[in-house]
Amino acid sequence: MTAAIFYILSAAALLATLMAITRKNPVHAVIYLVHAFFALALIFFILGAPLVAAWEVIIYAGAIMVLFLFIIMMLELTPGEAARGPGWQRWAPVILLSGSIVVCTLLLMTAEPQAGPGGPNFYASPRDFGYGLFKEYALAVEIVSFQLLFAAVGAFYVGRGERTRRRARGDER
Amino acid sequence: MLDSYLPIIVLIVIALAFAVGTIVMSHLIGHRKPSAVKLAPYECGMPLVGSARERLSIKFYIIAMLFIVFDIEAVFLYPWAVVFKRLGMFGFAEMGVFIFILLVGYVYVWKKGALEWE
Amino acid sequence: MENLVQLAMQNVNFAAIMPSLVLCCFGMAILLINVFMPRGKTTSASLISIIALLVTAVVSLQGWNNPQFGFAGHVALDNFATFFNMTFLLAAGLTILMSDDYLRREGYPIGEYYPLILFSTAGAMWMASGTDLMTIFLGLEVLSISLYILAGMFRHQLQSNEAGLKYFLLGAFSTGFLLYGIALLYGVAGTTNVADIGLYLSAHPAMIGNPMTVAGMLLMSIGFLFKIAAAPFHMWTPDVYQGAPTPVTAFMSAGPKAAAFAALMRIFILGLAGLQSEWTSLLWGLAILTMIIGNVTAIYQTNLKRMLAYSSIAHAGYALVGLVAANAVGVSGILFYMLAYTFMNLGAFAVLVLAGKKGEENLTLEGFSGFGFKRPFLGVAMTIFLLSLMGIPPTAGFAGKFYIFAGAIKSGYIWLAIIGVLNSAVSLYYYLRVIVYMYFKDPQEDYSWVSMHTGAVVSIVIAIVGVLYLGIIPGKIMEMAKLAIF
Repeated sequence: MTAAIFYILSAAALLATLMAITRKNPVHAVIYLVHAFFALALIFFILGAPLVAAWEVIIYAGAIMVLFLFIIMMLELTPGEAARGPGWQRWAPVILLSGSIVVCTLLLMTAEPQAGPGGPNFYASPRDFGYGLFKEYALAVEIVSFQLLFAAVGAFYVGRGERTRRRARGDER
Repeated sequence: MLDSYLPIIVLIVIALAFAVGTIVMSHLIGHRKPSAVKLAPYECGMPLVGSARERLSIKFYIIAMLFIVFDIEAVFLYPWAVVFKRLGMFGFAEMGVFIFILLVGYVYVWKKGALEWE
Repeated sequence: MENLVQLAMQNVNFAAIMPSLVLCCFGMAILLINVFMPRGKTTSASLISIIALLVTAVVSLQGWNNPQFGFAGHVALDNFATFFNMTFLLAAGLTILMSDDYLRREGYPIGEYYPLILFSTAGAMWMASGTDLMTIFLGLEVLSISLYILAGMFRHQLQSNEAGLKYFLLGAFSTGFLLYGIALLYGVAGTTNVADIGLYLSAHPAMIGNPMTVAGMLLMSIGFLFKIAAAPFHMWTPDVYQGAPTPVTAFMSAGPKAAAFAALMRIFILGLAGLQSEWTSLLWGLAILTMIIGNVTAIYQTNLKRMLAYSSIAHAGYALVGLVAANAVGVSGILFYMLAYTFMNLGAFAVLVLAGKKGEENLTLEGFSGFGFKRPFLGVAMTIFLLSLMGIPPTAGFAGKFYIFAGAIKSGYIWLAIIGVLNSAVSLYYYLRVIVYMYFKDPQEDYSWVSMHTGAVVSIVIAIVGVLYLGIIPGKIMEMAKLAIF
């Protein structure tokens, strides 16, 4: 049963990604990408990594998609002509995707725990995960912190507006 | 599994039923007399001002980017918090260093004026 | 429970990460100084960076013949890492020396520049000293992200923007391959520790031929070969090298290449020794392809930065020959070659930094007409570096190629060595052409050249000394390189 859900979700993730990269309207592409992230989150859940599943939703479907939307709005990408064809044709993929994701979520919630490929040995509770991460991979955690540090520095440097720059020059004199 | 998730399932079902039900019901039994003004997008009851597809300032990008950076920092706190006691001083020092490094980044972007809107 | 915590504490061996730790602390300090001090004072930042690199060099040398392991076996400061650390520090040092006046001249006196160079050096160190795929991957990311920013640093120049964006997009894409490869290898061996993967594969020979293992190896090599700029993953190199600020290009041509070689060697030789026949045949083909594409395309270039980009691809090909040989001479030859390449290539780029005309960077072949007589010191320096890049004795380039091809012959790859030598002969054409322009053509107009910056001159002198030292008495450094391999 879990195996079946896994394959359905994988298909959904693939379909959503495929739709995302073929859409002409960037906002539609983002919506499909969000579906892909949700499907992936559920796959992580099946594989016994609930925390990673939550991160997938919080960071990818949440924060990063917001960034995508800001970029789209900043670039002022005008969508192509309105889609042709009857309404149901335009809505079918997105309804199919969200429907299958919701159904899979409900099935996973009601299913017996740890039945299927994600056997008991592979279940990493947030507790196990945290202990492994912070004890075994202590160095990796600190390196990630450094990366975030100059991700902030770099994002600010690349993206800062002209006014900030002019003010910086004014200080020089 | 079912026991712990049952309230959430019930909530999802109610939310879905409410949202879908409202739309379907108003569609079915609503009294419709469309006019140009009525079909226009709702903007706080004011007359429309310009297009919705305005070009956003790049400042949004910087804010969103910084949000992601500190969001990821927060995300690291969850698994740390659940094993905080077990990790002891070691974990405390580790997270202290982690936060300190990001604090440097925070001070940097703050002093550089990235958080000011102008 | 207490025991576990104590075990973890014991595992924290700061000696093992001391070099990168020092660099990062200095980097953060410069970042904060830059924020709180009045703007435009980059000289102090470059000075502090040089001090940071010297301190790091001293700290790093503590690891020589005194291997330190730490953090649950995720990092090791052994001879191998120390040797590479020295190469990275040298590359960073020469880069910083040539940067300060250049940045001011080009109108970007940016304080972030120096911390970013230091961070990327630290990333390179994590790649060389990482004994766990996680550490190596994160090191690669630290190195790359800083370089993405540095490549696009000249915000108002389209070429620089293009360089940054191209490097970022393709780099992120190749990192995806690397990560996928790591995931597959983890799936096979159940561990990300390089040595443990090696142990697992030797204990389970059946898994060696498993498609998952081979696919993991292939995908992982794509990630590193991209950084090395080996064909067919070299497409980004010319545009990025040309568009990025010249000192950044200089660093980019030496630092990441050496770091990716370090990681590749540690993973392939320690972790995937069981798949040696697979990766040897892969790299055999890629080495030849890389040498030919690099050298033949370089012939058609008229922009010197672009020419050096293709030459850098070609040199990646020569170095790959050493990895194909996979014997003591070949592998230590790579270590030697990376050091030699750092000297000669950064020297050449330092000359390019000083070759500018007032108001523009003067990097075309035509612009170099009569360069040798107008600016005798730079002309002689450039000639030495070009001879070294060609591989003419008595320069570092000759010694490096000699060791690498000797290693290939020793392992029985005679054809590979012959192709390598033939490629070197092809490379004579485009390197010599620069010398011909410098000495046998008259300048078309009277340029006013940019003044000699002290920092860049110092880095040129250091590079000349290094090139000649490694070329005339290579034995001592080669002995150290032999001690440094596994």
